[in-house]
Amino acid sequence: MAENFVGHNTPKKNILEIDIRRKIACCAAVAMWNYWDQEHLDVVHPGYTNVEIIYENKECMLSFRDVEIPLFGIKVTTPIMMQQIDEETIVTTAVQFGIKSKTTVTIKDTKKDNCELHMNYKFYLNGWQKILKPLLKNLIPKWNETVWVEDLPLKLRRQKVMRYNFKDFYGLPDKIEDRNYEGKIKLSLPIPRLKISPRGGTPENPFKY
Amino acid sequence: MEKELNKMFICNNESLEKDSYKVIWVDNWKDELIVFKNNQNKIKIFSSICPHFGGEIIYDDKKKNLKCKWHDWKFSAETGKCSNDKILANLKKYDFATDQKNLKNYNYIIENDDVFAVREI
Repeated sequence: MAENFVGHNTPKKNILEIDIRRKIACCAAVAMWNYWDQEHLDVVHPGYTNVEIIYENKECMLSFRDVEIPLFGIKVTTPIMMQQIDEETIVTTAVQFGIKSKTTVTIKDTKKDNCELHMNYKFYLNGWQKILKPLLKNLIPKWNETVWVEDLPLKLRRQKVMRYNFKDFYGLPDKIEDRNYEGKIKLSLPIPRLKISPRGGTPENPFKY
Repeated sequence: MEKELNKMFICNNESLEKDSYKVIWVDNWKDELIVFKNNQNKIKIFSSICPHFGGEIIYDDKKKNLKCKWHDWKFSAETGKCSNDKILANLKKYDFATDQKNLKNYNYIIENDDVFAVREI
């Protein structure tokens, strides 16, 4: 899928760029699943108060997230566009307080059941928005750390149950001797959701329960 | 003839009085179990792996139901059946061991005030 075109009118000096790298003991498909699973956001992360999925297919998702801005306690609704650019890359484009941002997350397997994530944030600051540069520079790594810590047990647990041959919407195999899977863990998009999901169903989501 | 039992220590019975539930990985069974006392003070044991995406199930002592920490799916504390509309998935129950003497099914035993989950081998 072609990457979207954002921030082309922002001078380079007004672009705030932040790079964060992390390693985790789960495979890339599990880490990627965590990004695409939008339904956990307002249950697991106190920073999110609501999520509505407007549209999704195997390459992209448009959602509205209600986010509580740390320190200020202000709630804002943010339209978020997520795109699976290639097998290893997700690009998220958003607008908050009129500020355009692009987050590129690259996830690569390093060895079996281990991967490395490279998160690249870009904020395109035009006009008055430039004054927010130092604040965002300070805030974003803290936000990233908070969300990372909150998501960490999900990814590690998901990895564990997938190795126990867990099947979505079914669970573990009935017999203990069948609870073992050593093959490649794959991610299938869009993430299956119930048609009656409170986050909204879409005709593009093929899952029927 | 009664079958041999495989038993796993879960927690001390007294600790179930203090905490509303216990969750413990049982690696030998490749599962995680939740143990709690229902509103009739009866010990209940289910798999605490949510059949949706594998999230952790916890017991809501106020609402007397089970729910997933990841996506808030809810389950009956009596049967393990999912209570979200039209969802067929259940929490896994164990193959109950059968007390032939009393013709009663059970999936735990208490020894010296310790609670053990049991499966027939």
